[in-house]
Amino acid sequence: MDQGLRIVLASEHPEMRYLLKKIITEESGNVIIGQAENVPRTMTLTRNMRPEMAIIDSNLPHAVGLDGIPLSRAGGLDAAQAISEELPGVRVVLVNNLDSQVLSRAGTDSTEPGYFSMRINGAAKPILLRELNREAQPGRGPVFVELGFVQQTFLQRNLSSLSDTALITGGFATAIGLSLNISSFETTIGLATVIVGIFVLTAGMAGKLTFKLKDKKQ
Amino acid sequence: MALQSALKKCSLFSSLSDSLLENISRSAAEKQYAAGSTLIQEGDTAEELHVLQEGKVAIQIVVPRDQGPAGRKVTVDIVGANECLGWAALLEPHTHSITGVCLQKVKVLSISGARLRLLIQDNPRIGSQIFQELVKTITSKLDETRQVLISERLSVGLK
Repeated sequence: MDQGLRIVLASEHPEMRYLLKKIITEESGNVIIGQAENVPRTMTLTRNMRPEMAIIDSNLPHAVGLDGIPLSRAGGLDAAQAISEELPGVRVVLVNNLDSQVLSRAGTDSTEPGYFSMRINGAAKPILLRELNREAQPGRGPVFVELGFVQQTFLQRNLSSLSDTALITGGFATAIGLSLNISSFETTIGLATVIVGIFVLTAGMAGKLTFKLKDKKQ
Repeated sequence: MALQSALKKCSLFSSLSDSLLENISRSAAEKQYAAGSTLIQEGDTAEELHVLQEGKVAIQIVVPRDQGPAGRKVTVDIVGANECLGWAALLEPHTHSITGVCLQKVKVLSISGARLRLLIQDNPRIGSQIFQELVKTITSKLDETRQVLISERLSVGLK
């Protein structure tokens, strides 16, 4: 994984290939060596280029169509199974659930709060190639991945940094409150400051714990 | 009640009355399958009719190869929520002619084929309604397949 992977991407949708390329090449060293929009081109590319990984959209057409003409878009699984069988050294990832919500966001560099997620029979988590690489073992057949988009609130996005701020502020307030009490200068204000400080500190610790648990679960 | 409303969403059972749906739901059970698992296997005895509640299933047929022992799997359709799988549970010889591979985590309502056949035998009105809907579904699938065949042939010819 240190030297990166050579990857073939196959999807009829250019916006999907754009999104996956962006995510994949963000992890250093990975190279997209070919892109295909149908089954025959995917097979030719994979046979000729011998990539380490092929990422294939399950709704891949067999033929290139003209606008408005219905095509069978059921070729992704066939391509994934054929590659796994013919080229057992290639890790094969079959992506599903490319609904309009995912596709409309995939083609843009939107700053909408949230992240593109993947789910492999478990909880949704951000798309990471190293995870896909671990799941898609050569010779074991395709790994089935569901793609989606997870929207996040301000609190969800900033839970960690808000918790850090609460820990520092709470600790600082508690210390000031204690020193006011010890010096007997302002015991009432000191006690109130300690209580507020402990409350903020507890909130910070709870936030940190939630973040850690969530991270562990993912 | 939840099973009945799930059945009602499937075209095969949509025209049935609530009391008939309740009767059928007594022979049904909710099941879940992981992505990549095989829901039905070509050649196996069809014991259950499945109504998809969530997820997608690829319908595959094994095509014999010129060389080599194993055949090549070809996907002919992808079915989604509220569609039916495993019609062979209703039609003789009750053997699956296709394989269903779950593309996602799939939730189905599995209805015992034997009990459904018995219900149809006892109440021909149910049978008539179910088979009418089944014919409509098969006709619509046939029409879609024809359209795709025409498109793909045109597409190849025009390249």
